Amino acid sequence: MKSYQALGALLLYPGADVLAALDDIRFVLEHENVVPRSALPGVRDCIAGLAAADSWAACEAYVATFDRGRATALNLFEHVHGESRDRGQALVDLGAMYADAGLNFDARELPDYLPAYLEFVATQPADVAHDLIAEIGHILHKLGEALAERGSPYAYVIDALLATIGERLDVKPASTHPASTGAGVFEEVDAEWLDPPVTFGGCASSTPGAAQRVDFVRRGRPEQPASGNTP
Amino acid sequence: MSKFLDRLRFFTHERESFAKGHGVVSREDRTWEDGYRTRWQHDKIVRSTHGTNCTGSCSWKIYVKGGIVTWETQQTDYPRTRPDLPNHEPRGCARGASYSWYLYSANRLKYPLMRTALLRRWRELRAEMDPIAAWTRLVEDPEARRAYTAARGLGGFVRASWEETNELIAAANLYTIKRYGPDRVLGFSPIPAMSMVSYAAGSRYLSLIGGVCMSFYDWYCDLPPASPMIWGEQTDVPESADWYNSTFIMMWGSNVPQTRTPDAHFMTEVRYKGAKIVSIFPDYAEGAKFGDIWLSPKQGTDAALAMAMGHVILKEFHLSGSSTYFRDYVRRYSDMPMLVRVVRQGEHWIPERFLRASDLIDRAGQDNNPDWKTLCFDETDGSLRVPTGSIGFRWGQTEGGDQGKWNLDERDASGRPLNAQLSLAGSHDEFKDIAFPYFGNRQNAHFTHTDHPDLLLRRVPVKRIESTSGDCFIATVYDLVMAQYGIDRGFGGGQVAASYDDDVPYTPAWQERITGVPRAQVIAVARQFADNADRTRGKSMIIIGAAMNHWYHMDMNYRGIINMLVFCGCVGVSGGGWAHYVGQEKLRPQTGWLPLAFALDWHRPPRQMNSTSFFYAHTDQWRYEKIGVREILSPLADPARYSGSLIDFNVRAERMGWLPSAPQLQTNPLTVCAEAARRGIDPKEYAAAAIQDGSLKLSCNDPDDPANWPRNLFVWRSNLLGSSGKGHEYFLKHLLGTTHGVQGKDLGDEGGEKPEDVTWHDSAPEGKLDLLVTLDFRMSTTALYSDIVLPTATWYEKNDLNTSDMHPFIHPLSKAVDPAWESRSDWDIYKGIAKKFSELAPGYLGVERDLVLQPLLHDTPSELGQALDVADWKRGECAFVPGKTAPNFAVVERDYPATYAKFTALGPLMERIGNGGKGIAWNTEKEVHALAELNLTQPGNGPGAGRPRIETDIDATEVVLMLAPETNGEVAVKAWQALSLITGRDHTHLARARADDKIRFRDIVAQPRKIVSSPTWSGIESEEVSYNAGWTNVNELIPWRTLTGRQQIYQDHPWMLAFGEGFNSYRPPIDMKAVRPLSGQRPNGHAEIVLNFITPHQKWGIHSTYTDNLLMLTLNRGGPVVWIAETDAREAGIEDNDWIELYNLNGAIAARAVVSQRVKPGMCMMYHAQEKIVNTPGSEITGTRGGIHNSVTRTIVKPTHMIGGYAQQSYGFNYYGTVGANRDEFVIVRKMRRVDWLDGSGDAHTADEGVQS
Repeated sequence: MKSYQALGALLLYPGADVLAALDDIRFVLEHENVVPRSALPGVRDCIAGLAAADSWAACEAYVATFDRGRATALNLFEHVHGESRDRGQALVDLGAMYADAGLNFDARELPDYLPAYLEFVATQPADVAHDLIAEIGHILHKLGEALAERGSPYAYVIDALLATIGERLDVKPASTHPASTGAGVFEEVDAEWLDPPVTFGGCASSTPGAAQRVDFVRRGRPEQPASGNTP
Repeated sequence: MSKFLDRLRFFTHERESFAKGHGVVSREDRTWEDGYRTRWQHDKIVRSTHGTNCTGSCSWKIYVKGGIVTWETQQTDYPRTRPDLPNHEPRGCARGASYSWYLYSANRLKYPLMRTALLRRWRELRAEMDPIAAWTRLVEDPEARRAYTAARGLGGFVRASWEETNELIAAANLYTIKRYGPDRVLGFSPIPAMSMVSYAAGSRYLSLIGGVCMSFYDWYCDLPPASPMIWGEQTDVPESADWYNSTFIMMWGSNVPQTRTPDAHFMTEVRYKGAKIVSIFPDYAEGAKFGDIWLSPKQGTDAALAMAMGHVILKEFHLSGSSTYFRDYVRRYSDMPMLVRVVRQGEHWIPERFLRASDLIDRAGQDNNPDWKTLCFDETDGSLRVPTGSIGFRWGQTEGGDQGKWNLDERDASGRPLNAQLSLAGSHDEFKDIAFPYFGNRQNAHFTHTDHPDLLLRRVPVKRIESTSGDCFIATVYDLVMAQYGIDRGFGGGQVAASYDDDVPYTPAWQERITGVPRAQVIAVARQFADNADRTRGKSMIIIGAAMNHWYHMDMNYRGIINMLVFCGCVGVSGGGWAHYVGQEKLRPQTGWLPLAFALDWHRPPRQMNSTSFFYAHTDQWRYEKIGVREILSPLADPARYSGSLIDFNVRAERMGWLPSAPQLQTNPLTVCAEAARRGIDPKEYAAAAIQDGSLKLSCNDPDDPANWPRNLFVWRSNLLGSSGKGHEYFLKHLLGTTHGVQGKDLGDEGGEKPEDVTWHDSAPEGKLDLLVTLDFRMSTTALYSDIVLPTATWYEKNDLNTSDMHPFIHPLSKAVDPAWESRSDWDIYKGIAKKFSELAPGYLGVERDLVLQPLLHDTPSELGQALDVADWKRGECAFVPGKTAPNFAVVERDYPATYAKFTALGPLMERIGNGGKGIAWNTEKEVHALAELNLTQPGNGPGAGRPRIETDIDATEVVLMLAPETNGEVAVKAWQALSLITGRDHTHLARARADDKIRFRDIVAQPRKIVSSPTWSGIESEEVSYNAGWTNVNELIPWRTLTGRQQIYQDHPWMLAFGEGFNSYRPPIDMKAVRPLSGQRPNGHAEIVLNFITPHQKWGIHSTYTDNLLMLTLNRGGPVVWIAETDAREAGIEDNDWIELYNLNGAIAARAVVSQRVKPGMCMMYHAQEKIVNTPGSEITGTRGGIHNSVTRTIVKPTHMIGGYAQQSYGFNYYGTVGANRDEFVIVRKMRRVDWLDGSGDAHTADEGVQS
C-alpha cells in the first residue's frame, strides 16, 4: 500500500529529498493500482509541476499554502476541532491509535499531519486503509476544495486520495474570497462556529456502529454525511 | 419435591425492562464511554503563565496528556492573603483560557523561514565562499539587497535550517560590527517582566557584542514622564489587592473590568465594604458602569477636569485650613515649602528655578553640591534653612560631611529640627503679580477654547533675600500653586476666582465649557475625594488609564491627577495613591536580572537606546514634521533661543548627554579606538577632542547618511510593526523600503522649514535595514515583514520567570512539553546565534576596543549635570565636559570569539565591582559562590572556565533569583544596609524577618512566592500592609529621587519653563495637520466626516495576541472594527457593519463600522492592534492591504522629555525620555465604495485608481 505513503510524500515540503524521489513516487502510484486510473493524470500533472518548477518557487508555494493559514492546513484536526479543546484529546487518541498498531509516532510534527497519517495508512491492510481514508473523507473534501479554490495543483493529490474510496473532488480552480460572496457563506461560517448542544451517548464516529476511536468529526454533529461533498 | 433448589437464591434472570417498562436493559457496546471517562484524565499538570504584554501574570495549570497540551485551567494555590482581605484567585481570563490553541494552531510558526530571494542568493554565494564573504557580497550588491528588502511584507518565504539561519545572522552581525560598528546591530523587545529570561537571552547577546537594546515603555507611550518628574521613579504603583483597602476609588480612563480582568474583583468587592467608585470615561466603557457616578469629559481634556478638581481641593481643604493632615503631609512630603526665585523677564515677574544653597553668599554652609540643595523657611524662627534630602545630599557623601543626610527627617543640614513654612503670606515683603502662561485659549477646530489671555497675572507673596547675584525675590511653591490654580486668597489682583461659578481658569465653571462635565459634578466629586482622604488619612485612590498618557500633552493630564493625590496626602498610603497599570512593566527581581540581561557581569556599560527618538529619526517621520516648536512654546519663552525643529532638540539633547544615541558616531567606534591607539592617546580623550573639532560626528546629525543607518534589527517577544509601530507606513517606507501607504509629502517636497542641526537629503533613504530578524511563535505582522523568522517556543514550552505590578508574587513559565515542530526557546535561539558568531569571528574580529557613549544617567552621580542653566558646548556656551555637559565615554574591551563562552557563564565583574541598582551598591561575592555550587562551573580553560554556568534557561533563572534582593532575603538585608548608610536611618528591619528566604526556580514551580521587600521599590511586602508605592518614602523617610527629594509639583528646568510646564495646567490637543490636505480630495461618492482617532485596549485580545485567535475573534466581529457614534454615523451615511475607511496623510485603514451609542460623538475607537493578517481588505486610498491602527498615526516628540542630567529628569532605560504620543490624530472616515480582498493576481496594487492619488 505504498501509494498512500507516496501521496503523503507529495504533500511534504518539496526539499531536495522529496524532489529526488518524484520518479519513485510516480512509479508506485502507477503500478500499485491503489489510486484509480482516472485520478492519475492529475497527480502526474502535480508531480510534473514539482519536477519542472523552479524548486524555490515550489518551496515558496508550499510555505504559502501549508505553513500558514487555516483553510489549507495539512493538520487534519485544524479542520475538525480548530481551536476547540477537543483538539488536544483528539491528538492524544490518534497517537494511541498508532501505538496500538505497534507504531510509535516519533517526529516533530503532530500526529494529525496528513503525510504522517498517510504513512500510517500505508502500513495497514487494504480494508483498514480504505476505512481510514473514508474516516477523513469529509476533511479531504474540505481541504481539496480549499486547494482547488486557490488553484493549487496539490488539489490533485487530495483528489487521488478521495478516488481510493470512490469519491472525487470537483477540481475547478477559482479565486473568490469567502467573505465577499453571498450571504450563504455567513450561514456556513455560523454553523461551523455554533457550539453544539452537549449530548451524551452515541458516538461521533462517521461510521455508525463502530466504537469511537478518534474524533474525526466534530462532536455534536453526527448528521455529518459519511461520504459525499460537504454543502 | 421442594422447589427449594429451583429457586435462585443469589441471582435473578435478566429482564428486558424494568420500572414498569420505563427502563430498558441493553447490552450494546459501551466502550464509547471511555471517551468521556478519559476526557479529563491527564499525565501531568504543569504551572505556567502567559507572557503576553498584560498585567495579569496569572498562574495557570497546563494539562498534558501523551506529550500534548490538552487544556488549561486557572491555578488556585496562590498564598492566602490575610483575614479581611480577599484572596488573589481565581486569576485568568478568557484570553488566557484560549491560549493552548496557539500551540497547535495553523498560524503557529513551525520552521525557520527566510525570504526566498535572500536564501537563494545566500546559498549561491555560500557554495563559493565563507559566510562572512558571502554576506559581504550579498549586502553590498544593491540589486541582490533590493531583491529581498523590497519584497518585505509581500510573502515569499521558504524554510531554512537552523544552521543556515544562525550562520547568516552571525555573518551579518560580524560584518556590520566591522564595517559600521556594533551599535548598528539593534534589538527590540518589550516588557522584560513577562518572560525575563527570554528577554535577557537577546539582550545578553546584543550587550556582549556591543549591540543596542531598545526601550519599549516610552515608545509604547505608556511611560508617563510625569512619574519621574514628580517622584524620580517610573511607575511604582499599588498592587491590586490594595484597592480593597481604599475607601474612595476613581477609575479615571482605566477600564478595569476589561483590561485588568483578573484583578477587577478587588474593585467590585470593595464596593460591598462601602467604598465609593467614581468612573471617568469619555465613552460609556465597561468600567463606566461600576461608577456610583460617571463623569464623561470630552476626550483629551482630562487635565482641565483635574485642574478644576484641584481648585476645589485647594480652596476647601488647604486655603480654609480645614485639614491638618493635608497641611502636614504637603509640608513634609512635597516641594510646596521649597523656595523658588521670582525674576523679572521683560515686563513680567515669573517663577524661575528653585533657590539653591549656592545662591546664598555663604552657600548656606554647604560645600558638597551646593548647586543641588534647595531651601525653605522655618516656620518657627523664620530662618532660611537647607532641609536634608535634596539631591545634593545624595551624592558626594563623606563622613563628617553629608554622610547619612539624604533623608526626610524634619531637620536641616546642620541637624536642627525644622518646621518648613508653606506660605510666606504674613511674613512676606511684598506681593508680585506673577505671570503664568495660559494655553486654554489656543484654537483647535475640534476642541473648545476660552478667550482668556496668554498670561494670567496672579498675585503672590514674596520675600526679598540677598543672593550671590544681588537682591532676589523668592516665593514658596505652595503660594505659587495656589495662584496657578486661581484661588482667591484675598491678596487682590486679577484672574482669581472667589466663586466656583467664575469663568476664570481653573474653576469648575471654566472647565465646563472645555470638558462638558457639569460643574456641580466636579465640585461634588472633588469634595468627596478630599473629604474621604482627610478622614482616612489618604485612602483615596485614582486608577488611571494610560490612554490619558497618549496625548501629546500627556503630562498635564497626569500631573493634574497626581497633584490632587499629593494635595490630599494619598501617595505612600495603603488604599490611596496613583494606580497606573500598563503592561507587565514591573520586573520585581530587577537588580538580579540586570547583570544577566545586559551582560554587566562581563562588560559595563551596555548600550541602550530610547526607541521613540530612534524611530522618529530612522523611520524618517521627522521628515514629515508639521508641528513647529513655536506652536508649543510658552508665551514667556524667547523663540530665538528655542529655534529649530523638534528633531533639532533631540540632537541637542544627545550631544549634551541628556539622551542616548544609537548609532552613536558616524565613525565605527572600533575604528575610533584603533585610531586613538595609532596616535597613542586614550580613546576617550581622542574622541572628546575630535567631536569638538568636528572630525568625529555624532550620528544623530545625519540619520539619513548610509553610514548612520541601523543595519541589523532583532525583534523578539514583540509585534513591533503590527502593534506598536506608530507611523507604521513610515516604517514600511523608510526603515524597510517596501510597499507602503504614506500619503503625505515630506518637507522637501512641501517646501517646509528644514531642521537647523540635521542634514537634509533631498532623496530620502528607503530600506535602511540590511537584515530584520523576528522571533515569534505566530506569524505576526512583524514576522510577515521580516527577512528571517525564527520559530520560538510558546509559553508552555520554556522555563522562565514572570512578575507583575498587580500582585507581589513571582512565578514561572515552565516547560509543559517540548517546543513543537522546530521551534526553540528564545534562550536556545540566542545561544545558538552566539555560538555560531563565536565560531565565525576568529580571523575577522578578535579582541577589539569599543568606545561606548553613555548619557548622564539617573540614580548615578552624573544626574547632577547642569544645575542652574542650560549651556550647549556646540554653541560655545560652555566647555565640553564628558559626563557633565556632554555624554560620558567608556572603552569596553570585547573578545568577539569568546562571545559564546561569556554568554554561558557568569562573568567576573560581579565580584570585582559588585551589584546594585537605583543608586545603591553591595558586594555579591557570596551569591556568586552559591551560584557556582548550584549551577556548577564551566569546565576547560576558556574565557568562561571556572565561572558559574548559565547553560540552560533554568540556570539563567537561578542567576536572577540568587542575585536579586527580592528573591534572596540575605541580599535584601545587604541592600537595605547599603541604603541605610546613605539615609542615616536603619531600614534593615524591613527584610530581616526574611533574611533566610532564598527563592529557587523549583520553589516557584511548586507555588507562586511573595517577594521580599527591597529598596529597589518604594513599597513593602508585609503581612500588615499591601504593597503601595511611596510607602517607604512616607514611613521610612527615604527621599523621593528628585531634585528637592520631595514629591515635586514644580518643575524648574529651563526647558520645562520654556515650554510652559513649570506648573501644571490644561493644554488642548495639538493639531497634527494630517487631515485638511486630503479633505474632499479623493471622492468615492460617500460623505466624509472627520473624527478623533482613539485606540483603547480591547476585550478580545492583548494587543495583537489573540486577535488572530478565532475563538476570541468569534466573540467580536471577526476582523478589524472601528466604533463610531450613532450621530456621526448618520451624518456619514454609515450603518452598523458597513465597511468603512479611515485615512489621513499618514495612511489608511479599512475596517467594519460598529455603530454605538456608547461612543462620544466626534471620536472613533479602533481597539489596539487588530492584526492586518485577519480579514482585512484593501484600502481604496492606498491600494494596499487595509493597514493597522498605526497606519494613520505618526509619532511626534516633545522637547521636555529630552531633558537630561537634571536629577529626576535624567535618562534611564524605560525610565525617562521621549514618548510616542498618538492620540491627537484625526482621520477622515467614510463608507467604502468597493471592498477588494486583493486575492486576485497577487499584485498588491489593484485598488481603485480613481481614489488613489
